[in-house]
Amino acid sequence: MNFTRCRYFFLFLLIALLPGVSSCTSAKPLLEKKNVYEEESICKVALLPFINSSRFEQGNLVMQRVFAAELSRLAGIEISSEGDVQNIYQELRIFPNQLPSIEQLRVLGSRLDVQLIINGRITEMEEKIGDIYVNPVLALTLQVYDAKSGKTMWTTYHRREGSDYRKVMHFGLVNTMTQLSRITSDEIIEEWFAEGMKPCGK
Amino acid sequence: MKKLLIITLLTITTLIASSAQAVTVAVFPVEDLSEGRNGVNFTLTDFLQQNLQEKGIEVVPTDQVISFMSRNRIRWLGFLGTSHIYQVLDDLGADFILFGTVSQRQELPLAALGMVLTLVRTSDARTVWTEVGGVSKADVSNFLAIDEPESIDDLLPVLSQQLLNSWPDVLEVTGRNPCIVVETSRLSAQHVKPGDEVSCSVKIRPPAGSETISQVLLKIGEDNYLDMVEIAPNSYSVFWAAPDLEGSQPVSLVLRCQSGRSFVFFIGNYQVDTHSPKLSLKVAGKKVDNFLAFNDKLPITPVWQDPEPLSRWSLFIQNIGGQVMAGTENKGSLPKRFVWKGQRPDGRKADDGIYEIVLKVWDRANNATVTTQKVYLKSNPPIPLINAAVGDESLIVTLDSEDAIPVDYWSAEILYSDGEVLLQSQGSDLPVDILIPFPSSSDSRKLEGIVCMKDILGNKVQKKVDNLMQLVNIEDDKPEPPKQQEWVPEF
Repeated sequence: MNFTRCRYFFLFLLIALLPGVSSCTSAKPLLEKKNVYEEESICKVALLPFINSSRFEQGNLVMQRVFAAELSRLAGIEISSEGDVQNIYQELRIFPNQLPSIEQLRVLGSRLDVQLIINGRITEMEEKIGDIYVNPVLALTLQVYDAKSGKTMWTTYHRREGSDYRKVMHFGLVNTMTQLSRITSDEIIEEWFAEGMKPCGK
Repeated sequence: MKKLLIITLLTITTLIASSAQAVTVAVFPVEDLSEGRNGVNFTLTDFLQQNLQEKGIEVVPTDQVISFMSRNRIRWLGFLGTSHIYQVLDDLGADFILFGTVSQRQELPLAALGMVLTLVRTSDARTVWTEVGGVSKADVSNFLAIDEPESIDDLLPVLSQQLLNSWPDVLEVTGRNPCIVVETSRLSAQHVKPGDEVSCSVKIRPPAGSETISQVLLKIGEDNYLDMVEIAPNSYSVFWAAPDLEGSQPVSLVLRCQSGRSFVFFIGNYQVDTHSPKLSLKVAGKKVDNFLAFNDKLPITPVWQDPEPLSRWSLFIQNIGGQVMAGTENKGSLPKRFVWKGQRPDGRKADDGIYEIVLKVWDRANNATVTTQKVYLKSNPPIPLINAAVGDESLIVTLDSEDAIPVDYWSAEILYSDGEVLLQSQGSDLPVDILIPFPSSSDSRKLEGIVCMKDILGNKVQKKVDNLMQLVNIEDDKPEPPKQQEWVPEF
């Protein structure tokens, strides 16, 4: 009788612990702080055109749109219009795949009236085809510049796969690149705020 | 009484709710990134319009939106510049703009759809709502697989509904005060000499309801302000002379408003350059009598003393008469090395002689520097001078060169006419006497000589003398030089 009870207890324990064991959602973005940001809180930022180093067509645009949306939705940060950034890029004759100089970053910051400028490079973006499911993979590097000085403040690297979020069997799997981009963006933004970036008004 | 109160409250609530949603939204054509950078998805655009209309929101007709885009030459989907956002309010009367981007749309291997929706308020160009979502066939599973989506068409309503679920209940039409937009700015030139003209022009857009601008100034350096002249409505320009002081000058646009507030926009820097580029020429030739001599190809390397970016450069090679033999010019930085093949513009070999290499460079401020270097082209081989004289017991053959260019190497081979080698000799100094023992008197074979010479530039020559004794005879035929008249001590 006691043995049977014990067996049920261990079975329950196994089921309870299985999601924690099987999922790998603890991976945090790799953040490198180069300079200390002294501003009170971040109210407006500009996103430079992301650079695509992967083979996923338009992957930079997908990630840029998703990241801008999540930054606005999660943190309430105002994102400078993409059209304004493009206009200044044309004026300063900066090619889309080119990084602006420090002076050009200062011009962008002043003209757009932003506190931070964020630039992203997609290093890996693909959808691995499995037997039944599609496993999206995304890796990116983000640089955060101080808009006043043009100096690099933070650099963040993050890599995620859809299968990282598996809880048990196929539950929890992230099956689309858009959804993975969204979750990755959320994790980066949360990490930034955990590391000292303050949302507007706080 | 109680009934009346409830009816009044319900009426007020309905009125507030209806007034809150009495907004106009312009749904811009949805960008479809799965179709490439210029992809557009009108199906989704119509779907979103219908969804909003069902919510009781007034929607600007698609043809009006497309006409607006055409009028304003808007070539991209998914976003607008701030000026255009304000213009949507003025031209289309829309309180909000809904931008949509299809981030992914694929049928295989599993049907999947991703979308980003963004709602922007036209009064202050602020994003008021945004939502991202992606759904795959694998994400939607129903009991016994009943009504499970099979294609993108089935996923579209699922995803749209999922995103629009968080649509704000109340949309505030009035936002913050609209900001002044600097539409364009141009600072030229960015690299100047002292006294050169520098100009700056800007175009600003003060949106309706924003502060009235009373003064438009240009701040140059730390405390130098210039009044900008309005050359067209909202377009300003100013010219000034660059100062003598070398260095970078920051330029900012200062807008002073009637309220006393000032807005400062950093336009850029311009650099005053007072120095010409400093460089010299390194030529790979052999030094002969104060000239660098070469015979075939001449590598020319510019050597910087203080490197700096260039706007353009030119290099040409001319002879003493000023006739240009070769030349090249280009914009941008200098090549690391030039090579002159000793040819004229028509491709033929240039004559031996002195030439001048002239390199002229201009830096970004148009400061010019000219560097020259004289070289000596000698592509013809040395001319051997062979004389023979009869000595006591031998034939003395004297070798020399008629050229001014020193000889690097010479060799002489004396042989009989049937090929038997009598003597071989070689060396590097000229003139030289080679002593050849007389052949026996019974030997009737002719003595031949083959002389090779190479000068220090690499020019080579080989000369064959069929009968050395003939040289002696020639010498004999010549009148003897006059004997020295003065007394010479004899040892």
